[in-house]
Amino acid sequence: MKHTIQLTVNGICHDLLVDPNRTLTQVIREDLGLTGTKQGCEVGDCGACTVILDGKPVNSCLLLAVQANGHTITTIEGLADPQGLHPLQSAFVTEGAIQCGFCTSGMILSAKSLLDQDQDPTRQDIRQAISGNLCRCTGYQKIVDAIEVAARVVASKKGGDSGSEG
Amino acid sequence: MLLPRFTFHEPATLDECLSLLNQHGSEAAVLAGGTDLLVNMKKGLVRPGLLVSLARVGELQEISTNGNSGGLQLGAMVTMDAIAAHEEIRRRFGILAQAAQKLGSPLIRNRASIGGNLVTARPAADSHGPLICLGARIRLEDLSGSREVSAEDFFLGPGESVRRPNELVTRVTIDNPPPRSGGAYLKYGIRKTLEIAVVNVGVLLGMGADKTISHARVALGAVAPKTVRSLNAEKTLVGHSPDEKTIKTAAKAAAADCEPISDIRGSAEYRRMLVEVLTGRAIQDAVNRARSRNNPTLEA
Repeated sequence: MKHTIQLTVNGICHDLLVDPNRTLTQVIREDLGLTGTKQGCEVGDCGACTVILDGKPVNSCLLLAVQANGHTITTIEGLADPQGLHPLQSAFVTEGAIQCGFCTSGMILSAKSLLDQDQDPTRQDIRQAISGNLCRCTGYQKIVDAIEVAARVVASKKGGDSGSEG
Repeated sequence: MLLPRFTFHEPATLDECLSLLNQHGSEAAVLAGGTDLLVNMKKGLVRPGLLVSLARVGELQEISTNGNSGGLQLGAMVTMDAIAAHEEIRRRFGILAQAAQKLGSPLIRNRASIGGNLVTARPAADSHGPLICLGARIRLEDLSGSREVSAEDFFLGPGESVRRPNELVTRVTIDNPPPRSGGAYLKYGIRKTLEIAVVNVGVLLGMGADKTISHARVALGAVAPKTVRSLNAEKTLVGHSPDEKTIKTAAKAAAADCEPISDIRGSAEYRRMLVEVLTGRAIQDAVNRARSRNNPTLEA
């Protein structure tokens, strides 16, 4: 029996009819067409399918779409705004942190969850935050560099914002 | 890797969950964090006809600490991330927070639940040693009532616990650790994340007013069909001051008490050596924490 669910994805509310045995990864990719979320190992080992669920990064391959009913989800497509790419996305490009690109969405979403809580993370904090996301191109150094760069940009933007308000 | 078909229920009350389990028995599976169940279903290892999600049952999501006197109660759905991040748990039940922090990956910890980590009953599970050291009690409920089982008695072997198919693990209750106590959980694996322990060791010690050890629990994981206590290591420690010789003797006793097997993660001989090394380190670590001036259990 299909279930009616409501998902808020990147700020847009979707009413969907889904079979209970479909994962959130499948529904995001196939029903919503948001293919930035990657389907990798499918058993929670690689992190390619990372999405942010109610503020916390999770493996969307280990979540049934019906379990996400009523929850708020951010995928990689939700990061850029009309002004341009998110600082993390820009930094991944400028720092050369993207090789094949398959892990990138998940890396960036795990990093975003970290920066949402801590704008001055150590390299150890960064490594810890992305430790559930595997890169098989062996590119971790540049990924950590990019997140460090983005952290500074995010922190300076925040500082600038509060300065102009003050 | 597609999931087989099943029907999905997400009741809002505990009674409804228990009714479904009562009605469907072993045909039903309980869905908590899903980080084991959904993997096993994808791999075809289990094929339940119906899933009962616990996500909407409020009381199962709660953490309660009643100040310095009241111990700790964890609903079965409390996540590893919530345990690892909880200020009061880190302060007074640190050994459990240490273990929660070492489970899986950040992504897994945001979903994996304490109830799930118990029910899956893996011999290398991170929470088992700390819960046994803390003397945790596990509450099981079914339609006809409830019972409480100590963490030590809960596990029977790999994948096997005392839980019956119509029962639900609802809560874990932990009394305050003894005064002047400290705990340490050490996990050895090839990597730091997404690792199943080759060996894990939990130690909880209480120091007497005379500076000898008044209380000791030593739990060893991944070296027997379930996490086991080393009674000989505990006996070696209690009544003695934690000097180098005592710690060494206790570590040797722990290595003698375990019964590891050889598998893909390590040989039996290697595991036994690891038990000795990790037990020694964990005892020293627990002693240091017990003696620390910031030790909150001094207030008790």
